[in-house]
Amino acid sequence: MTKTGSKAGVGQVSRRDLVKLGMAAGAVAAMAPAKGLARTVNARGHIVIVGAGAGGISLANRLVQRLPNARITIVDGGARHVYQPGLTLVASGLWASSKLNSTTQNWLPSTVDWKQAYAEAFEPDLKQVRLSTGEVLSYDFLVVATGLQVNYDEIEGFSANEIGSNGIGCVYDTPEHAVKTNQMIEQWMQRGEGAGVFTLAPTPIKCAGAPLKMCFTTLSRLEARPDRDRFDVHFYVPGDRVFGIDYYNTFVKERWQSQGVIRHDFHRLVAVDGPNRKATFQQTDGTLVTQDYGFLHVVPPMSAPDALRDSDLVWWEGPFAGNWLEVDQHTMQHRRYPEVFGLGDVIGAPVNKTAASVKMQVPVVEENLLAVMQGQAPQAQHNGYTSCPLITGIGKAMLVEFGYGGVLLPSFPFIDPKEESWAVWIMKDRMLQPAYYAMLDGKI
Amino acid sequence: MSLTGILTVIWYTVQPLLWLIVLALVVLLVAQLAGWLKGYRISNARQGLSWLLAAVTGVAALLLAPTITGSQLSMVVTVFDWVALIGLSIGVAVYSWLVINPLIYLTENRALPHSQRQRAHP
Repeated sequence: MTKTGSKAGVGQVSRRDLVKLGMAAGAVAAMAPAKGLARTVNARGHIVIVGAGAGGISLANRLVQRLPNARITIVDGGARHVYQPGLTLVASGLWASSKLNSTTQNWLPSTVDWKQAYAEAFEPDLKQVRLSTGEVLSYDFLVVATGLQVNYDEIEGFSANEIGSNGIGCVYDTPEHAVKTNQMIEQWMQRGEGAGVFTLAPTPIKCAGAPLKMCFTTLSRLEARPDRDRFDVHFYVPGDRVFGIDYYNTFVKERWQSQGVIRHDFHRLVAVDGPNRKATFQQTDGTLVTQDYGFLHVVPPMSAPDALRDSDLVWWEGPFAGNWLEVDQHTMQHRRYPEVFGLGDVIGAPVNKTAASVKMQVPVVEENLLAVMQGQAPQAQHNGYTSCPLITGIGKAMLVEFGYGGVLLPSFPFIDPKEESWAVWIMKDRMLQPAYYAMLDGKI
Repeated sequence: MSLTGILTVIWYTVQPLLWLIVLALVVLLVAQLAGWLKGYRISNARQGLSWLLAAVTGVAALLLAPTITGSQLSMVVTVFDWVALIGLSIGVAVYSWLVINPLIYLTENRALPHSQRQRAHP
């Protein structure tokens, strides 16, 4: 019998249901991200952001919301924006390189003046930056977000052009070279034998977990083959650590031991002989050791760009002297030039060179820059937060999050930072790129 | 991360999949509407087959989701992994049931002579 009458039947929408639906929609709308909630500031001045990478773009998008009366110029010669955290996935044959590419223009707010050039010289005493186009750009406030420079030439016989030939790969270059790195790994495995040689640089590097991830994904591919025993895998380390945090350092070393990885501590890559497939390492006592390889993953030394290294903005003393931008690691303000801030890979700080670091640094720079523009002292503090979804095999990862002093800073209480997890793999594979783009848009 | 931050990331994540979400909703609405127009109500449909098929799709989702995401079921190890995977498979099962149930009703109703259609499932 069919129910009739004033009461709504199952599946029919009653007025009460509509009211509930409206309340639920209102609640969701209230929680939804809203643009422009942050207080606008009536400060004036010319802000120059050098670098339209993750940090520069994200900061520009946030500043245009906060500073309706300021003039903002961003300087970068690159028309292409690359989602760099995806390079390891491309180099491991898991993503197409096209997934990494977008245009710089696409992310920049329309009210920002984009100078498509590179900074050739920083002149902080004159408050100006010389550009590769010959233009001299004056500023009231400067944000240095240039990213870093990969110093291929510090390895004899090696240049970026070598990537993708003679069994050489490198995950720190273009998406095209990441594709070629994958091809080199495939060619090596197709040969059915030989040594895969992985390295670490003697300097701070961006995404310090990337060389480990490349080793882990390659091991996964080898272990899926019936002839795994015919391949040797070596990992050469300049010091005796593969990761800065003790727990993960021990974890990776023990895992590699169980996977048959031969580790060589205190070996620095100094030369590559591509045609003969030989890599030369220097030990701490100066002794040179040569290793034959079928595949070589090169991790070159890195530094701030030469224009910055040659300027007065560089650290004058300490572990970052001559190589990285001098900033207070908490306020992100330059220690000698208070109108200058830095963020991202270029800064000299104990922990910083990931997109996750940038995500946390940008709001700090934003708040402190606005404070300085209003004649106040910078109050916002960066705790050194960085994150590395450490891929420990194709299909699993650990969500490594920590800050200054190696303190673990897990974002989610329900994710154990010391366990390998499928869910973390999903985050790395599916969710971090959207999160990154939300950051570029200045939404998070 | 703040709640708004999490919601923002989810929004950015689902944006490329909006067409698929809309398609799934359209399929659901069409199935439900077609059933309702022919007299289908949850209480008057045969439940056994719907539940069986929904359970099969849910279990299939549980077994296949890790592979589809480039992983393996053996890598689903943490409590959160299992909660996420079981939650996903329950969601797939419920969705399947909502689509399948009216369709089964329509199929059975069409097979009956016209005079018996409304009386067949009191």
